[in-house]
Amino acid sequence: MRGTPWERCPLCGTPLEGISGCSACPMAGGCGKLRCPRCGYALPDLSRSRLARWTARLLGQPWPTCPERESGGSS
Amino acid sequence: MGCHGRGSEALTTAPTAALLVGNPNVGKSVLFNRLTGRYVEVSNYPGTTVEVSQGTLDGSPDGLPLIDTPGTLSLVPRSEDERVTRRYLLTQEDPLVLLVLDAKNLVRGLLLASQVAELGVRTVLVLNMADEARDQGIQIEREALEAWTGLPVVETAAVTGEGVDQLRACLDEVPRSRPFLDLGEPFASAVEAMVAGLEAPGARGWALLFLASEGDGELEAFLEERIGPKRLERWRARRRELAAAFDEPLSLVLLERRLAALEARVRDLVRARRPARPSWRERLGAWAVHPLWGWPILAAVLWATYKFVGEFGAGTLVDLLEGQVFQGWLHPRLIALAERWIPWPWLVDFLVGEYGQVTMGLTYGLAIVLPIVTTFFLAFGLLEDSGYLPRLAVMVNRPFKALGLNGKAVLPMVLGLGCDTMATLTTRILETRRERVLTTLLLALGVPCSAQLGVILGMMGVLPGWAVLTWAGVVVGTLLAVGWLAARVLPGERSDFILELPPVRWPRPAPLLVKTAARLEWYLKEVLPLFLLGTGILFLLDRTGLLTAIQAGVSPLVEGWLGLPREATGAFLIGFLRRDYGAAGLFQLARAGQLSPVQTLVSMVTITLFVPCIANLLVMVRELGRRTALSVAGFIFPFAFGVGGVLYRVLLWLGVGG
Repeated sequence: MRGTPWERCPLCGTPLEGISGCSACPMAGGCGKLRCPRCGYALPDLSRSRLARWTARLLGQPWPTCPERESGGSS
Repeated sequence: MGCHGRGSEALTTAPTAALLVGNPNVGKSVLFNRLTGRYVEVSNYPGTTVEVSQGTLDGSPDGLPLIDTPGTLSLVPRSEDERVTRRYLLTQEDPLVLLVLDAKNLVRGLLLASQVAELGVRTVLVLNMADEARDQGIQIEREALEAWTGLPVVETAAVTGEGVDQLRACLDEVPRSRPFLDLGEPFASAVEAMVAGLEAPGARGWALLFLASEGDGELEAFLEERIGPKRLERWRARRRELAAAFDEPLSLVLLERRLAALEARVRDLVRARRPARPSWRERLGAWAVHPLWGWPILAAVLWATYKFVGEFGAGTLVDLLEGQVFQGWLHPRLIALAERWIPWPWLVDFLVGEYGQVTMGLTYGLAIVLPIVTTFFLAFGLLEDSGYLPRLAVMVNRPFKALGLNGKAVLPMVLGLGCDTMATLTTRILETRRERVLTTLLLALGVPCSAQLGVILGMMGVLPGWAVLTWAGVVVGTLLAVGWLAARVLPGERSDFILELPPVRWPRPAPLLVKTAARLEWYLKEVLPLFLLGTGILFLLDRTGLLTAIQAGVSPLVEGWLGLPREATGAFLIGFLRRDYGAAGLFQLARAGQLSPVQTLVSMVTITLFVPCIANLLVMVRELGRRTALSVAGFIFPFAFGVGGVLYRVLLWLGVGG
């Protein structure tokens, strides 16, 4: 799933809801970052990071908060 | 939490699908994840590039499909996404609509809800982000909202799962909606006349959409099928008649009527209570953007970051990893192993030589840059999670505004702290090509991305305080000078910088560590390979003798103009790939005592003004075209060397150099 359900944009506070906002980027799909659809701020795509997932498990952090799925969409 | 609307028609037949509908960024997808099972289909809506997710509504007896429709502001579409959502609402047979509203912005959500309600479909209003609304002191009179709209209203916080079970429990008996907004005359009478004799529950909604959608062929084709060509012709005549009665387009008149009616009603439904005395977080948030106190706070934040990254990360951690682990333990063993077991000297050299993949590439990447970026990512994440970042943007906006720079240009500059490459993409928000070129230039010139800022801050650890201040002064001064000059050369209409400030928050350690882990993985996957590539290039240049030739060729520039040792040439060469890698090379020279503080300062200023990375250059080519992008790069590199050289001479003249 692209995006991180529980993460908000640190700059403008928009819930990211799995939106990548990367369609215009020549590296879309390969850079491991999300782009806030509202202000354009770039931040790590937690859902693509095994290290983040592993860290979350280690810390007992719910991952992801929403039901785990194989793939997902955006709206 | 409410479940059953009042005064609407209850239904006995089952819906064919559930549609999740709402404005953009109201938490639909999070709610979708909460309501569906593990398997989700993602496909393009037929004939479009719009992606739509479909799952099965958890707990529904017959596996009711749940469709996550694209966010829309109204049913008068302005984009392909919005058109797709309207198509679902108009053509899906007897849907169950979960209309998601942001509880903090009721008017915006109810604008869409009023249009959906006019279509006569079973609808439940989901007031999402209810937790945030409560935090902001917003209280919604839910029962009054139910009574007015005739729709069940459920409060949720999809992010935490609050209210989701109540929503599920509510979905069995959802009534069909009815219009709840009075748009006044002449629309009320016109719609009555238009739908007279029509049985369809959505007829009033169709009529109002038709009145607001002049020239919408898709809607007319839909209506022709439903109401027949003769009635459609009468509707067209009615629309012409109404349009003639107003100076503004009917779509605008109807929108204004809706908003006016909603605002009047919502005033009674929403109570905002403010605490008598602002909390410490609110006071801190206000101080952070205060024209006077904001600056010492900014200085304190930068000082703390420098102490943590520059002294702890680049000092303590690098000494431990690079000095003791890599140089003291790993390198001697690997070199001995390679020399003993690998029969080809060139391969030994490739792995553990002066420009070896292990002794240089991995050592720079893992023993020098990694501890620095780890500490910086932690510090940066702390700034993000605390809500300081947007306040920093507000503070930065002030000097830029004073220089006459377009306020909109500030946002990409702040975004550049996250990633220059992506920030370059956001320059699209600027209206003129001149502004886009200028902002791209400033971004590439003087705004280091988080990874690069980390390495640069780390290098500060080896410099005395005056040198750190000089570096900051030269870089910021250059940025402001170029911005000022460009604002004069490229005048444009000034626009304000508008950013909603989130509340100041106390960062939670676990999410901060998770986010840092994700950033580190990005670094290891994407930056480290470039380091290895750069090392490979240096190795090849060295083996072929070209490096010596290049060093000799650029000696007047590196040694003569910048006053640096010949060895710094390699760092600048790899700095073309990524400037943090170049900075790491310079950092290593400084730690080895091959650069004096003045030389370190000059080299750091020069490399900070380089184009950030090869990816940034590619995006510039894409956004500005090859010619302009190469012109920007063609300006930046000589300019960076120019500023470095001038600084060197000024320091010599002041008697600081040597």
